Amino acid sequence: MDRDNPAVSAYTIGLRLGWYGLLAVPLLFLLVFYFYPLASILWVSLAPDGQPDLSSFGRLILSPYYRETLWFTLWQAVLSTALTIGLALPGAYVFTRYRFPGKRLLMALTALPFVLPTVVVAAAFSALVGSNGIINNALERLFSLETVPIQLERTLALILIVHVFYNYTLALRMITGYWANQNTRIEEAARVLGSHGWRLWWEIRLPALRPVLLAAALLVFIFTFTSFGVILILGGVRFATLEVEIYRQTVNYVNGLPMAAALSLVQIVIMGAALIVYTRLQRRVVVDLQSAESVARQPRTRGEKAFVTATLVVIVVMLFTPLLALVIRSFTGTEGFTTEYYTALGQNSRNSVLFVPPSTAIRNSLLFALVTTALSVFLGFIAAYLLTRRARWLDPIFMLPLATSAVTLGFGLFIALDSPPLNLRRSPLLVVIAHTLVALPFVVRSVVPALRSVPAPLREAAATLGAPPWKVWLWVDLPLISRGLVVGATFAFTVSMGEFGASTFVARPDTPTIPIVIFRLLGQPGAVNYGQGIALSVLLMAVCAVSFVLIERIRTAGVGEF
Amino acid sequence: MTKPFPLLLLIVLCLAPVPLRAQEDTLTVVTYDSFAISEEVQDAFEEQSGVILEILRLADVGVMVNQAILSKDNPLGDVLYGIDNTFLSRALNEDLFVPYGAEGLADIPEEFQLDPEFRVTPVTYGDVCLNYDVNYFEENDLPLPESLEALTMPDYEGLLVVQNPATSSPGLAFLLTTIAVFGEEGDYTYLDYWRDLIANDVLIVEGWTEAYYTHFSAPGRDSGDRPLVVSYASSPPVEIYFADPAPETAPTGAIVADNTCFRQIESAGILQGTDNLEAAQQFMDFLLSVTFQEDLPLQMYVFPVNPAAELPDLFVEYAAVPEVAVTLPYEDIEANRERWIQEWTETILR
Amino acid sequence: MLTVEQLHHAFDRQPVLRGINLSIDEGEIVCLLGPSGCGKTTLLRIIAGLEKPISGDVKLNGSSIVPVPVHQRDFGLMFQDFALFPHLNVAQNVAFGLRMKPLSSAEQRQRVQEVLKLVELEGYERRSVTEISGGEKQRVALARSLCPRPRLLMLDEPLGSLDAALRQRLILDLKQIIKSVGLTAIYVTHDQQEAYTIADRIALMNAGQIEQIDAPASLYHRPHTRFAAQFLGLENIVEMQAWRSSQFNERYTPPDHAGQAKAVLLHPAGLTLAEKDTPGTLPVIVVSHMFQGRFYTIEVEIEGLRLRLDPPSSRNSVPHVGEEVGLRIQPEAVLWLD
Repeated sequence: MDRDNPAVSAYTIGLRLGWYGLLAVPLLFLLVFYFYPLASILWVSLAPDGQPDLSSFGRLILSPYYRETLWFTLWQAVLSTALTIGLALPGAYVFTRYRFPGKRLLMALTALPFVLPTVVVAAAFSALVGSNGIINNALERLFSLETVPIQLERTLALILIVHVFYNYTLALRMITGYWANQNTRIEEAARVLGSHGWRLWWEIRLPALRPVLLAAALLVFIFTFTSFGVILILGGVRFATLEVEIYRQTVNYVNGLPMAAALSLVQIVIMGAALIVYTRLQRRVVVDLQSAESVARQPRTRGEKAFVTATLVVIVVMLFTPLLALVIRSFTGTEGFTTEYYTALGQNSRNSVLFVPPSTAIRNSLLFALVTTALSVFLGFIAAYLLTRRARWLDPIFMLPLATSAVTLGFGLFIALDSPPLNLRRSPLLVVIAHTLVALPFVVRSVVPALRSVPAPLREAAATLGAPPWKVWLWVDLPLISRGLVVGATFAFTVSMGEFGASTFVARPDTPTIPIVIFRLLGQPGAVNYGQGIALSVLLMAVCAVSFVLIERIRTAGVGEF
Repeated sequence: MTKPFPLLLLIVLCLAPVPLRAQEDTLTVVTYDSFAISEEVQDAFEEQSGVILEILRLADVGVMVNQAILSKDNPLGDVLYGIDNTFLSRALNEDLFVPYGAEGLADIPEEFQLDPEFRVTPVTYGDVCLNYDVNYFEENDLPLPESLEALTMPDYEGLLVVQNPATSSPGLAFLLTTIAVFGEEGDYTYLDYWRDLIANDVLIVEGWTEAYYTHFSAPGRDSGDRPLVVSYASSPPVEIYFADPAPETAPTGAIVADNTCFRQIESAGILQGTDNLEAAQQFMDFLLSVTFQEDLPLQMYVFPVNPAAELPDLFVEYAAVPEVAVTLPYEDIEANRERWIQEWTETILR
Repeated sequence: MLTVEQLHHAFDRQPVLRGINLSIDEGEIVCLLGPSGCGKTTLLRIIAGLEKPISGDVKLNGSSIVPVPVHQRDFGLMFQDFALFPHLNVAQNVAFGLRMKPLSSAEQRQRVQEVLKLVELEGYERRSVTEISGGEKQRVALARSLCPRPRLLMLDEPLGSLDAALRQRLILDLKQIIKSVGLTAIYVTHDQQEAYTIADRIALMNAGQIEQIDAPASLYHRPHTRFAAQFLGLENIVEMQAWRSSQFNERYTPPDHAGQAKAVLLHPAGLTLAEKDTPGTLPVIVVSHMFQGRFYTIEVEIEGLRLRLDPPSSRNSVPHVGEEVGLRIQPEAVLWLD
């Protein structure tokens, strides 16, 4: 027989080793590009002279200022989470139970806020509700007011609104995905037994949704706990989360690194715990891909129609009016309608080396995004395989980069990867790596549920037909989860397009991306510069919107855990 | 069937170590993100020296200095450009730079020469000053505030927007101005002054962009309702530079009264460990040359330290330079900055 | 050809196989029959290589195959729900196993055609497997397993999800196809009718052990254990104690080899009813009767024992409930159970 032939068995051993090697790649990636840099920066910060100095932890615990920061971080996250879930629940109900025109398009576009950089979102909100924003101006004109009627800037209310704006799509997608696959017989049985109205919600629906509600809440909590730009730019100076404080410590105080490291560690520990719970919960929210049979129908009674309309209006107003305000603003000059900002984007009026034509920024962004997508899909697919088949406990670890301060990570990458063979400090690859670290959790979360829903007998059938594990993976798993992969890839792409955190803290030769150019434009005096920043934000938004509409055409309802 | 091999190939290619471009003929300048020079000026240097200029950008000055310190044993580049007097002390203490007396340094006024050991070379200066909305003050027939004290008067209640010193460079400069003027001890300290500012409804925001675009009332149509903002003495000419069509009169102005502006001096230095010392020295010389110095105002909105450099008409006409600008010894700034910001934060924000 | 020796297996310390011994000859169809949870599917998965046993051995032609990974065993396995690849069409599904072999695409195509012809699915090549009927799926799954010419074909409840009428027809087709190819096969089912139809021998399993291995007719007519009898629906079991004190004991003395017997089965196939007081019969009272189509189920009572028998239905009248009749027991219908 073949397998007794030594040459053949050496070949099989080689194949098997290659296979295990491949499985180790994502772990290695995390080890080299996440844990090693993180450990380096923490070590350098906490042990500047080679001796660990933990006094910053003492200051952290003793100072009321840091305790208050932690407390604020916590309760604003809890409040944001409660609001997001509370608002997403009726939305998810409407998306699960009713059909209406434009449903898929609307679902696709709800993801738009999630990937926009904070500078853009801040500009959008000030264009809408700022003291000279569209709403206030309209109200002032309407009622000839002297004072600004809506004062939202630098209030907790605005922080909460923007957190809902950012995270709504996560909650909506997770809950809808789960709900659409729930057996409606249970609810029908309850109805036959006389349950209706609030009792139906309280006794049947909410308990059935509990796992997904908890998972969604935890995810939103994680995102709002680590909120950075929203707090920094929109919250104003009175508010600081851990992440903002880490940034302030690192950027402003040349002696702030030990405290920044201590704060980073605290954040990582808290988020790590949250992620462990989250990934556990997530496992219970398995969606059966094969039986996604739609229970959605047209709203019939007047009450139903009113409910559906009202819910959709809330969603549209909440998510899209700020973006619309941004678009309007980009076309509004000193004398009304203008396209000057868009045309100015292409002109190097100062003949400066700082000038970046939008085509270059878009090209850079696209290039980074494509490489990031390829890399994170490749790694994410292997990681998802690892997580579903071999080592479930690794799951929270792959999510950890999401919960790590961008400043800490950027500095870590900078000091860790500074010598051959990994001297990447000046390489644009470092940007790709930073983007991939952030994009990887999204790919993993999109692919894992798809992989979990591939029935085991399919793999066993392939194996009995003679397929070795890697062929099973390539010929059975891969095509079956291709939709999950496409969703993950799109997330990776847009996350990379909008990323403005870790990548700004790594040194780079001049390869500015769209968010960086936006940031530069907004950082200079002159109305035209500001207008250009807004116009470029609108272009970025358009690129993301197109990608989202494209994936919505391929994805099945509810694929993806996000 | 899916073909993963092109993808794999791509990944392998991407992960392959990129050859470092540390050739003799490249000079790497590490700087902040908004560093800008004209293409002709860059070409002129490259032609004259025969080296290619590579500009490596970091997010901002604080990030740049911190990263330069963290990487001092294995420096990122040959020259560090853009370190200002608020960050200078730490950089000097960490022994980041190779001393070099650049050609033309002798002609630079004494006040800009921060380091007697020539470890850093001053290149630009700029003043952080109050900017005002010309229209507002004309229409309301209000005199301009000519001192910091004036800002606590009822006339100016609710008119000023400033930046958080913890996160903004002009914000820090303004805080330092108040510290220099009012001091930390005595009957009326800088914190007392800030309490009065708060009582007079000053608005504190996180950064320059929000203050200038969102809350300052003059530029553009999307502006806010506060006619006074902490910005730069160079902001008014820049405002006109970017206006299209150019306005007949300046919409904004800078207040350059004595003891109201803080002077920021930006320096550059040759990084320890450079393997391109000669080119680095050439570049330092070039920074002080008239060619480079005259390019500064319209690229980075700062003033040249070289008195021989002519200012562009726009600056001559619209930019004012304070006679007596406030400054603090950089050693003091470094030694106290964290404490000052902390005190300010705890007193004013909480 | 295939032997299983002293096989033990457990899940979470819960034993599922307890010392299985089994040997299968070339060209034979052996059926693993038993209730759910008896370990039959686990045994099949161990033979297939999908599970590694805790102890014991599986040998193919004398050499152990336990260390051989599943994809190198050249076995075919048909799954309960067929496990067709939803992303591939009929021909691609069938060709899947061939693509693991060094065959030219022309050879592959030819072989797929051959097998599709065998299962009478010519013309279905490009159909999607999600759009064909249950019976067609079953045949695609069979074709897929047969296509790479496996050394052993295993079928795990391959008709489980189909309706009864379809099952009856397909099981005959299945047997005919397997026999025509001359394959050795292991067939797992919980349905005794299926087992009778397809198997050369049936291994009846219970709680991780094989209770009895026999040809279908022998198994049905001579179950050795109480479990076997009950599982096959033979319920006229009289406890030894009750038997000893009854009038049966005098007529049918246990043979020597039944010394350990714990109960006696009165096989319904050997029970008939006669007029009351017919010589050679025992007097019984009819307790219930039910019309079942081709036969009746009649329950009679004697000395407090209830016995069931299934006489063929005919137009003749049947005794009514409460009537006294005579019960005739053929000697070979008295079986001593362990």
